[in-house]
Amino acid sequence: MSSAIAGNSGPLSFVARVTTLPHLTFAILPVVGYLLGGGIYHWITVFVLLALMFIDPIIGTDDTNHDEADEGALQEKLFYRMMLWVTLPASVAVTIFGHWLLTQTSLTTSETIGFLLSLTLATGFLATTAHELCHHTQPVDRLIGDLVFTPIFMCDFHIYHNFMHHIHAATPIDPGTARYGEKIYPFLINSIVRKTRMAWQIEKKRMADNGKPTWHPSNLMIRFIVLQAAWLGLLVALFGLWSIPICFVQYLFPRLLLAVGDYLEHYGLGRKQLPDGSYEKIRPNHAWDDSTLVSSMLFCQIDRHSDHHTNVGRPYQILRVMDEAPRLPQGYLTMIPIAFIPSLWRKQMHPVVEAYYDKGEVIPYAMPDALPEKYAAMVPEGWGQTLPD
Amino acid sequence: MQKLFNKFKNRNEPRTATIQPGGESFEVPKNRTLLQAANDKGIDFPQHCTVGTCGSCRCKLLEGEVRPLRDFSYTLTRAEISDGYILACQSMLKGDVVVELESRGELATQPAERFTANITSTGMLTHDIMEVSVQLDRPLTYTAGQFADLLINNGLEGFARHRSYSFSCAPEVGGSSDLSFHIRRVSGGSYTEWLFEKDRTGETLELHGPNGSFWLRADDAPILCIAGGSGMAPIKAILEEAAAHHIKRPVTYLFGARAQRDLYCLEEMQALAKQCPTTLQFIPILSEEPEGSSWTGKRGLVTEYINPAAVGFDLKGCHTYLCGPPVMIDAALEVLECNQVPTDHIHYDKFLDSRQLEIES
Ligand code: FES
Repeated sequence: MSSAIAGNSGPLSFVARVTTLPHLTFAILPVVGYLLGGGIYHWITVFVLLALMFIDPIIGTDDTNHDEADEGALQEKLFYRMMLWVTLPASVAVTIFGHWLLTQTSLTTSETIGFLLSLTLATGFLATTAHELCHHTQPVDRLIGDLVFTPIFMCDFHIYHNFMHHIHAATPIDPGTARYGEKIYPFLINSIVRKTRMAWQIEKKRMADNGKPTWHPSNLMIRFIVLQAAWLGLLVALFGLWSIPICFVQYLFPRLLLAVGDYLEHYGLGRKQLPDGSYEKIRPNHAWDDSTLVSSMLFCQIDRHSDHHTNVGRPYQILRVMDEAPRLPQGYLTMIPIAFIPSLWRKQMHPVVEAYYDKGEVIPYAMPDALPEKYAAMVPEGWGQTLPD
Repeated sequence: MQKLFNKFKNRNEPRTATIQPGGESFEVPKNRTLLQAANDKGIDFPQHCTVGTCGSCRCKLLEGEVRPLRDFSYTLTRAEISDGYILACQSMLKGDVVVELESRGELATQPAERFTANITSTGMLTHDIMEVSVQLDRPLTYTAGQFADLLINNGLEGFARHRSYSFSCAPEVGGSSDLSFHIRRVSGGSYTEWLFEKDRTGETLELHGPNGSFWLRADDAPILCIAGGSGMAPIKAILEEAAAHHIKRPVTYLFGARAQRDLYCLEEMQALAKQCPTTLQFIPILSEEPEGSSWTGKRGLVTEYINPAAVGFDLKGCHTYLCGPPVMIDAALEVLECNQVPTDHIHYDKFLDSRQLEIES
């Protein structure tokens, strides 16, 4: 894939060097809070996150792209895979510790809320390492990815993400692509529900294609349900029924996090449609890039999103900032809270989106009647329908 | 015991992969996928995602066995799998293999470039399809069946409207400066409204092309073409070129339309049939022509005519080229599959998108 690369060519970006240390730190923080004596310390992860959000725009971006000559060696290095693997024991351990603390010890209401948030953030950000693993070629990595997804009940993401989002992003087929002018709240609900449904449909179709019934042990969705149910069963057996609502919070937060991530990543970007109704191949222009250092660290460089989509096989340590890609005005840690305030989001994002439309590289993908006249004219009639002219 | 020992010993030995056509051979270490090994050797192998989701590395396993890292059926259809297709990026070799790469036999296509196109004439082909002829600033080389993007540049800032249209004529040797396209009117759509609103002769467009990989593959097998609506254009270009090359293969062309007023290029097709040294059967089929009208030809859906009796040859051995609305293509693919037409002989754009999954959007 030839692509113009922005940024400085250097040995390696800072984020690639720290690999999953930020995630592992988040996983340890709830324990640290407990060891420090609890109380306000149970809110430790929340405070750390707020501090990171504060310093993110101050620290700014790290646009370093590794030297292309090193790419082969970096890609093959076992170290980067191992740093992903160790997030599995971390997520299992912090979840068990969390359920124990929440159900077996007596915490005040404030401690409970603070600790629950800390636990949720710890396992929630691990979803980004699981995401990385679910793209790997090695089956063992994908298995570990599924296991990291298990405590947050998000295994279905593996299927939806690989076989729907990566194929159909920046088209109306993908529920994870937000339209210009689309409000965040309906988007979140719609996208969360449809993603799980699509994962089902994909597996159902695969079973049918293989001449097997839907309810067959080789149906990955069924395996995932069994795996996740067994995990829930284990927690309930160990810690009682209160584990169920805790699991629900652990389930919900990462879904929201990744759905807001989706909201930012392709906002308003559409691919051109070919005469037969299919869409052009995804290009770096079809995803918003970000390389804000602190955000990047918490998201495992997934914010170098255009390279991730254009070259899915690239592991996180060698994702690059791309020249052609549109740039988010701020890092993920700033854009995510902004996304929840639609008026602010429009103010921040729409001028940037429109300036990018002016380049004529993408089809504006928007809610009906949301686009200013000038950009509405750029949408080919019938775009987004499967029927060609 | 010796056998078992050998089996064990062989497990660690590198395998050999051979790519056809061409017979290029290379070693595949036991911990590398077929694609990784090909890349290691600098072999030009089609690929995109490298993680088993896009289908670009699809090839046909002619000999040997592979172990898929990820189930091929996420990306390949059942018919493709039963025809022996595999994904190189997800294949670990169980022994030596021979694979066939279709693209190796294909023509190299010209890289797409930008051209300035002057509209030289426009004319209605049906009540809603217009033929737009343009002249380019320099000759463009393309292959019959490919398409180009047309951009309207009417001077208004930010007014960059483009659509993709297939070249509707066979190319000339050395490149063509005079091109034509079939453009269907979409009511309420600003692009086509602009074109249809008044005579646009003399206006300038920007053209970007050629694009696409829909073209006639060399072979001796009979050809079945199926088109609907403005899907006529690329098929017409392909057949014109085939006729010009004195094609020796029998051709049947099923063309689906709603009613008589949607039929066009009938004379051109008749002329082509005359020009062809072998049989070129052009069968227009109308799906919504009122009962009792003057139409004496075939009625119904195109798919009802995909059978040996109607097309005049055995479907199993034929090559098919489809262009038209996805609904029609999907229905046709199903019938072709039932008739055991091998998937490697069915041509249309490979990226199916929504058609791969029955997903409501
Ligand atoms: S390269 Fe995409 S499926 Fe193999």
